[in-house]
Amino acid sequence: MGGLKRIGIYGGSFDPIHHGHLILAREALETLAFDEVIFVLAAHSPHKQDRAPTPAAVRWRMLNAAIAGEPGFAASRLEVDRPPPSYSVETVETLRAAQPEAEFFFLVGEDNLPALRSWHRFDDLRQMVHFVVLDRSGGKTEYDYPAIRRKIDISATTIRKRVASGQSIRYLVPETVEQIIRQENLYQGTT
Amino acid sequence: MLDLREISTFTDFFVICSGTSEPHLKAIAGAIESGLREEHGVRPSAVDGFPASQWIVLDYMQVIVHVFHQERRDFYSLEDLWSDAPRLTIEL
Repeated sequence: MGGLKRIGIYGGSFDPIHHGHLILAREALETLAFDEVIFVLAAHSPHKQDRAPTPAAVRWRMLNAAIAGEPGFAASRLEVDRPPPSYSVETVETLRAAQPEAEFFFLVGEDNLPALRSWHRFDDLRQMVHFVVLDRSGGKTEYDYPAIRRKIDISATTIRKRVASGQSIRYLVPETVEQIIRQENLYQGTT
Repeated sequence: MLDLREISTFTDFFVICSGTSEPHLKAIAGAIESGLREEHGVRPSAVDGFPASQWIVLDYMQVIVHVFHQERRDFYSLEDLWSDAPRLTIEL
């Protein structure tokens, strides 16, 4: 490993970011001895909308509120700064250009794994990063990559539904994130 | 125009402008590109998006120019996303 800085890249729409994301990111950071996990906020396409989109600016505020003061956690606006679609390979290229000396690990949810090989320029991407599987399903699937396993039954979809139906989301998201959800009246129309 | 010098490691300034139609976006982006090339000899390191995406980005490294369709400018709302950046107004 030498003195190379080890950086985990964790992409997602984080709508909203919740304790499931944070617990897994922290565990990846500790288990794989990362110096830093960068949460990369994904763009929402304006075209496919099954619900009112949460503006990137609000998702960005929630993300920052969630990781504030947490050593080793950082956030990037890279993908929401550019017209969609965003490609992971381009995101990694940009992050690498900023820190050419670092070793990069790409955190991918177990649900995205089957599609991994069909990603844009996958062969280039695999040259630049080590993949790490985040498995919160509780299953025992064997992977070709190191896996962080922890069964966590928290999902952004559930949180949005709970907000829409007036149920509590306390203990599912950091308090500061819940405050933003309330202030901005998010997820009211979610069915 | 947003001043990102204290905030971003990737660029120093965003110039944000908008047009009213796809041909208009194309014309604005084309005029910026040819103007900077002819008058200052600089070319963008990358051009992202296209008129149909209603957001075109001309990347001049330290300066990144965003040309939005009016209707998309609010959706993407870069000014809110970068609300921590000081705003500068360009006198034309």
